[in-house]
Amino acid sequence: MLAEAILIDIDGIVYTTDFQGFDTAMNAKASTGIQVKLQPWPLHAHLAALGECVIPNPLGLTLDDRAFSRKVLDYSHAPVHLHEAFAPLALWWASGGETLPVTLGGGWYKFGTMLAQLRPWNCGERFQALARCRLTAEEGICFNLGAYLRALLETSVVALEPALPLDDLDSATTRSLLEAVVALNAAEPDSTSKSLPDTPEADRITLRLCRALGWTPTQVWAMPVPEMDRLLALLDRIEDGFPGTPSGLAGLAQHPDAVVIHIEDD
Amino acid sequence: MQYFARTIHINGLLLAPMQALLRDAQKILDMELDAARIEEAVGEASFDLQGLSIFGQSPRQSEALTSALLATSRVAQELAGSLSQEGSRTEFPAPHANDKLIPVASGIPSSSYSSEAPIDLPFSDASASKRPENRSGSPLYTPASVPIESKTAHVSGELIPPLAGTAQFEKSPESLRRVPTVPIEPALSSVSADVVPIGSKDRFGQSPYVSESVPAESVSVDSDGGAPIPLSIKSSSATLSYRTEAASFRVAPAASPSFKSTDPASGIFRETVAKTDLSVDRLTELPSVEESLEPDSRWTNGIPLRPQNENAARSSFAIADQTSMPLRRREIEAAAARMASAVEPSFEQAYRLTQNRLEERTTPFELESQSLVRNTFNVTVALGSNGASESLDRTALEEALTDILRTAARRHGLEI
Repeated sequence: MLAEAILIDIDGIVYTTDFQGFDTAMNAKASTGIQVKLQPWPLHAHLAALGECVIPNPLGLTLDDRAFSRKVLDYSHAPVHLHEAFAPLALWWASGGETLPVTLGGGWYKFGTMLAQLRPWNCGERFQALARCRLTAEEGICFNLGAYLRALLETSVVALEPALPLDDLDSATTRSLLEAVVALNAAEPDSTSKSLPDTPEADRITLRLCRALGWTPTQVWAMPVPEMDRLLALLDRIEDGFPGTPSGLAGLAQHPDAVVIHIEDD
Repeated sequence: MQYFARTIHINGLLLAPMQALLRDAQKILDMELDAARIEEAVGEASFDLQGLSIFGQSPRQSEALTSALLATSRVAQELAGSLSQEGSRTEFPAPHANDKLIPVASGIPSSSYSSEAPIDLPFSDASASKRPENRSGSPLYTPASVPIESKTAHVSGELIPPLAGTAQFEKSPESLRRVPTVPIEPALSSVSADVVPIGSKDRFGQSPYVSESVPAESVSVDSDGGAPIPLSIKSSSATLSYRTEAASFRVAPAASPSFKSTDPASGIFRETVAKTDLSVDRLTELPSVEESLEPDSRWTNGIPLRPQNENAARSSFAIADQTSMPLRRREIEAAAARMASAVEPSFEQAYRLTQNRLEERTTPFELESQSLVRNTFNVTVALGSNGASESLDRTALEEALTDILRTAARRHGLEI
């Protein structure tokens, strides 16, 4: 028996371990008595394994978990004949458990014992990453997701406290970091659309002010309402000559009861 | 203290960042997974081989297994040929369900195969030195490796000479380099009495098939520890068997797992001096070869993408459920507005003509007329040939345009 037995039950398979956190090597024993020592699973190995073990299918992505667990066990120099028995534990070890990122404000997050400052990557950085990761081969376009994830991480992580190399983070920190970075930069489509006001006037005014001022939607929405009203009035005065009627129209369009439909080319 | 986890949940956690980034990239690139290429790639891995149909979960695994079978077949032929040249009588008996087999997983990495036979297998792992030494608990694991060429067996008190086929090993080891992980095990009399399936789940001595009669000096075979590859063998007629009086080589993906069956042929085994089976058996529980242990490398260069369909591409943030009805409504409104703009000069002209007529006819009786001016507008709408236009509901478009025109005309003082 291990000194401090911590049982890890994965799908009913129980391992006896001396688990002290994902940053410390863990001895584990299966019910059959065979043992293995798992070394901390670092971020660089995690990204490499993801890049190789995530397999596309017509409906999306799947994880080749057998291959992934072998990567984890190979990293810990576990004998090959133990791979099958410890595959579930290896996956759990690589997943980093249930550690969740805690937002501290100012771009700072707490991942277990680590602190990290994150920032969203900007459009230019993302375009560069897309350009690097999109490969055009004879058979068509391929996209290197692993490289894209690494580019996102390297761009988005501003600082770590304590200052460790990004590649050396343990699996728990990696898991939290990935979750926070993805939430910050690659939000679900639903959450993106929910963050937008869903009314025609909001769309029209937001885009009008963005065009006129070179602002982002976030800047527009942060503007005090009286200020926005003044801006719109100014734009009306300068762009349209006089409010309510598009310039350059005459005749019927000037009729008080006229409905003017103004079409702009895309 | 106890932690509980589910592998399906863990898989989801591990996969989540990649899925999120794929969505992100698809959204910006206006692309989607190229299902055709993915299916094509998967389809390439399914094949028929001399009546064998092998469907693996992983294309790579199937390919690896195919290589194993082909190479096994080759070496069997070579060995049989060699033996034949040495004067042995070669015959090719039809496969028999009760044939004695020593099912040896062809997918076993050579590095985990502890024989010192001079077989340099192509899929051997450079990390052989770190292979497990602890094989306790299994009668199949022997601490000492026994080179095939030194194998002898005693049957009925006779000294069985070394396997004739070893001469082939020594003569042309190069020809064997192509062989992926097929251990060769002399069919000693004690082995032939009982079939010993060696599969991934048997290596800890838990298999009911593990025979205690396996001699300690037999070639030990280790499984690679990989989970079985689900493979379906359609026909047992695919069994390739090369048997001589001196040796028997077999590539036998036996469909029937009747390993324990007793077989009168076993007597032949006992009487025959040295028999060797090259068996590929229990394919449904066959550990993969070393190459197949690696993840599918087909996609290591990237996920195959293709441009989204044209309808979706019109929206830079196209998502299927957001592009159906809202997009059509927008298209209809846009088309109606464009048409209204196009007929605007006609309205202007009609208004001008009407005003002129009203100014000319100022008498009261004339004003009572209900049709001072009759304007006829012939409106023709040409829709573009793009996908969005084709998907429009033409009736709805017509109604929307008519409403707009009527409203606009009334607002301009025209009677409809």
